[in-house]
Amino acid sequence: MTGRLLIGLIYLYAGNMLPSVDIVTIHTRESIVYTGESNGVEIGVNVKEGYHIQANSVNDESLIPTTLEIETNEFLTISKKEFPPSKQFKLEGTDSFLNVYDGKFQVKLFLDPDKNVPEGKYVLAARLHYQACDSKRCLFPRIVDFSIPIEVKAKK
Amino acid sequence: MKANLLSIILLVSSFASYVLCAQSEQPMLGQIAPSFKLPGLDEKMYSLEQFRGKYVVIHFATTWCPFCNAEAPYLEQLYKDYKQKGVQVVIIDVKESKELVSKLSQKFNFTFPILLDEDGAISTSYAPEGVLPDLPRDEVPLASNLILDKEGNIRFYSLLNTTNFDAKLTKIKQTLDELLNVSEKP
Repeated sequence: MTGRLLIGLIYLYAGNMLPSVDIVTIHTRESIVYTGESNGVEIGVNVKEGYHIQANSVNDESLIPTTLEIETNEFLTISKKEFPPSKQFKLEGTDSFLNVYDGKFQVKLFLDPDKNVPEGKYVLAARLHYQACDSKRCLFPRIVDFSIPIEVKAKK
Repeated sequence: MKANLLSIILLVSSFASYVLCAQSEQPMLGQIAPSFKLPGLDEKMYSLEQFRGKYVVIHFATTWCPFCNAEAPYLEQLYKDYKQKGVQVVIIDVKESKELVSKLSQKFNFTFPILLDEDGAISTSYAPEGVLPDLPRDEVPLASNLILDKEGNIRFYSLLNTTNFDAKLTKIKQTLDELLNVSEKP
C-alpha cells in the first residue's frame, strides 16, 4: 500500500514536471469514401491553449503557413484541401495583424478514389507543417505526422 | 507504518521544495552574458567582447519569425536614436543560411550588425536554465531581446521580464533610459 502510494506520488510530480511538447495535435476518424466521386474527409486540429499557428493563407511571404501533405497515388488523389477562415492576431504595439489559427479547427480534404480502386480499408500517411507563437515568443516550424483511415466502397 | 508515511512526506516535501526553488530564481539576470564570436552578414567576425564599454541590445531572430519582423523597423530606429549614447544593437539570426538572412537585412535596411548563429550554439547558451524546459534549448531565446550593460552583465531579458510581445520596444527603451541616466549621473 505504501509502495503504491509512493509510486503514485512520484508519477503525479513527474507528470506535472514533464512538459508537453505537442503544440498541435491531430484527430482523425475513419471515413467512408466512394469510388468515382469526390469525398469530403475532415481532419481535426487542436492548437494548445496560449499558442496560435500561422494560417494557410499568410499576409507576409516570409512567414511559414500551415500546410498539409497527404500521401496519394494515381488511384487516390486529393482534389481539394479546405482550410478554415483564419483569425486575426494583432501584433501588440503595431497596426499589423497576422492570419492565424488557434484552438480547435477542421481541415477538409476531398479524396477522389478511382473507380477501379478495390473496396477495403486503407490508411493514408499525412503530415501537417506549422509554425507556432504564443504571446511573446515564436517556435521553430514543426511537423506532425499522422494517419487518415479510410474505407473505400464502390459507388452504387 | 508511521515511519513509512513520514518518509513519504519528507520525500514529497523535498521534491516540491526543489521545484519551487528552481522556479522562483531569475536565471541569467545580473550575470555576465555568455560570450560569442560569430560571423556577420558583412563577412566580418564579431565578438561580444568587442562591444565592452557599450550598452548592447541583442535580438534573437529568424527570417520567418513574425514578432521579429514586426519589431525590425523599431529596432533599426532604436539603434539610430541611441547609437550616439553608446548603445550597440545586434541581431543574432538562428540556424539560417547567410543567403536567406541577407534578404531579411535588405528588406529592413538594418545599419547594425546581423550575426549568423548557423548551428544554434549561441542561442543555446542564452537559454536560461529551467525556463521552457520542453523546448530545444536553441529555440528558447527566439524573438527575445536582451540589454547588456557596459561590463557585459544581462540587465534585461524580455523572455524573463515581460509577458507580452512589444513591437515598439517600449520596455527596452525605458530600461535603456534608466541605465543611461544612472551612468550619466556625476
